[in-house]
Amino acid sequence: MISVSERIAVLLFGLSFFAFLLYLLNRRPVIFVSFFFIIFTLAWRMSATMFIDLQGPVYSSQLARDIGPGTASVVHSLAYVVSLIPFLYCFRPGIIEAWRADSQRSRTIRGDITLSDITFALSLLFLSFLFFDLVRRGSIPLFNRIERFDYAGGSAHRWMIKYGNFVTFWWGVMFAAGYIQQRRFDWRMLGLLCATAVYALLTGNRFSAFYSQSSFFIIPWAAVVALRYRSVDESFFSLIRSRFASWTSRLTAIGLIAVAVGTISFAIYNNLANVRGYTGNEIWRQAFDRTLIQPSEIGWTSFERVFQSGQTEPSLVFHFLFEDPIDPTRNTSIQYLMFASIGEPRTSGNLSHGFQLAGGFPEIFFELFGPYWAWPFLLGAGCITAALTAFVVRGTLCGNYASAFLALYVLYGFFIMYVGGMLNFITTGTYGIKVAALAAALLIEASLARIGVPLVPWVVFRVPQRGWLKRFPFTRSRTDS
Amino acid sequence: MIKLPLFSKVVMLGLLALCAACAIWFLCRPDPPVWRLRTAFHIGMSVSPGAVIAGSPNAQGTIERYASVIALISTPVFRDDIAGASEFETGSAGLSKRLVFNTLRAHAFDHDDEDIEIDLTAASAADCRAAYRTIVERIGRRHADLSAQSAKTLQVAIDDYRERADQLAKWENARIQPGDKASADADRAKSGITLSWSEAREHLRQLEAVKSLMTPTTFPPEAEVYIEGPLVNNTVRLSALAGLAVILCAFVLAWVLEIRTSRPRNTDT
Repeated sequence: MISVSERIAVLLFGLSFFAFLLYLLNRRPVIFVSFFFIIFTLAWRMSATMFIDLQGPVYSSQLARDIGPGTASVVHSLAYVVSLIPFLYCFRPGIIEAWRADSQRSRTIRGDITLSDITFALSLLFLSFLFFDLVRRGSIPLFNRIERFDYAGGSAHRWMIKYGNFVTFWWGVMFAAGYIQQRRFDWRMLGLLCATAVYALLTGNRFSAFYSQSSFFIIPWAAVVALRYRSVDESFFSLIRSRFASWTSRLTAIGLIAVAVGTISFAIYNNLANVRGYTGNEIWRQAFDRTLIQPSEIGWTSFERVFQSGQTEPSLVFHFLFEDPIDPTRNTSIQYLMFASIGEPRTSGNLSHGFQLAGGFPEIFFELFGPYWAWPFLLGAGCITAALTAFVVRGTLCGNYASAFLALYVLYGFFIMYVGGMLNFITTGTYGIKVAALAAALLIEASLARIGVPLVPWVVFRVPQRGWLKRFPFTRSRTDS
Repeated sequence: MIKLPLFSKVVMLGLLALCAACAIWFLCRPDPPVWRLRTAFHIGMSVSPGAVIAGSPNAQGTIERYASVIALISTPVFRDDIAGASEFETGSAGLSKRLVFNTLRAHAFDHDDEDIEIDLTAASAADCRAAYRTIVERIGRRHADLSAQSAKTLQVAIDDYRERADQLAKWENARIQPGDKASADADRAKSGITLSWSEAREHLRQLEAVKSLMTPTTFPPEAEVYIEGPLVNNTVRLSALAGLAVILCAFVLAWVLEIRTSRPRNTDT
């Protein structure tokens, strides 16, 4: 049981975090949009931690024990704020104004083939093959009641599972670049995203695929927000209100949201009822556990160990994470947290079946550095993340697409850290190559910018406007649209 | 939107930080130290005479199903009984009663129907042991009663089969004519009484054999019970204050950087 004052503390700090997010959305929308993928996760986890703190003891079926109540929300709320504070500096109004000044609008002329055209053509080919391969194989997980991780698919399917987020991010870059360069929306990219969502639904995905792909798609949209929104003029909410002034636009937006919510709800229900075979109240119980207990159960048990029982062994944790993990090729943080929470042989058993528990951040910092020294490291991680996110937004806005993409590639490791607590991504050799590639791209882009040449040009080549080629639709002028 | 001067921003941030620090200091104040006991006990085994006779492989089972034991421990009546009946130390009795009532929990283990983990918190290690003793006494007595009942049923079955076998043996002996040994042997092999007698003897042997499989519920001795403590939650308060300090430092650093980078720009213009 926790005292009344502790309950107030949990509510106060939990709601303060949501108020901070509301501030980011309304006054610093560039931060909110560019970091939405993680912000959503943090908000969800905050809700789950508050639920366990206030409603506990609640039974966790995965840990096979009761967890809560406590004051984990106080610590987690501050940890999340510490992680987001550096964004306020990296995305300060002055610097966004400078990026806006650097962004250049390009005027394409008849026959220009842009990066967006090439992206669309290649993506269309790939998606066509993806759907063809799905149909050719004969078993569609949605209709054949196959679990998404049991469906092996072909090489294209596996490639999409592994790199789907980067693909949708690139489409997002092209979607945003289309507006920045030509002040028009390239709806083809949104069409590609919708096709990918349909593919995710058909291959038995529930929520995470839609959420991650959509989040990666909208990251570059932060550049458009930076271009259009000036914090000194108005709040973001009033900007949205002005954009959705007519009933038609409002109804369209509500309709799209309803379709998205309906599709995800159907996918979750189908998976629980038809694939996993739950019935009646079990379906709701599973959905409830997945929503309000499982995201924070590992975090709460870690809080119990570190803050309530004072069981911190940083050297032991370091040894497990970086020297002798169960599986060094995967996220070792969650392996340690599972090992500490459910013990062996359940941890090895679960990992060998490809299953791992949710959570990992910020608890792994407190496990590794203790309850006090974790704070500077959380801030440091936040600084690096904010700087990389700034590179992504600046790159999209200023037409530096190589550095935007490579910055996201480097940033992805930190995304996994915020989602699953992974720290061992830094120790892999390939990560060093990614960082070096980003550094090289930034240097080359800076050098080329002095002579006014982009590293990755928006207009890739021009189709000669004579003979039979001029009849093709892609050679029409886009300047006046 | 009004653009606030730097001084106003600093004052606002300072006041916000002060409010947050006060909230942490007063709302997350440490409670008195507590001790936590965790241990697992083993539910004893009993046998079902009917299942033994039927040849069922599930003849042996726990004295009480693990789910029923967990349900029993989870009931407010049981927790209140433990909190009320335990002999806590005089100074900490009030807090221990409240803590034991609120925190006494039982957990099952995966793929293990015979062991139950109990978990409770009290105001001192001695109070944890006192509550543990009461739990041992209550569960032990309940399971001893159930076990005795089960043993009695088994004994009744054994006595019944023994009596039946004796009676059948008497009838059979009386039926066989003395002096006609060869025909008696042939008849004995075919006789229904003999078959019944043989069956009764076999059941009797089985029932007597499973008698030794009955075991009582066992609890670890007090010396082997793990008691963790003293647990204090002051770490939360101190850690949260450290986090707040880091946020403040980040703001100060950001302002310093902003001022340093804006100066050359201003002088240029």
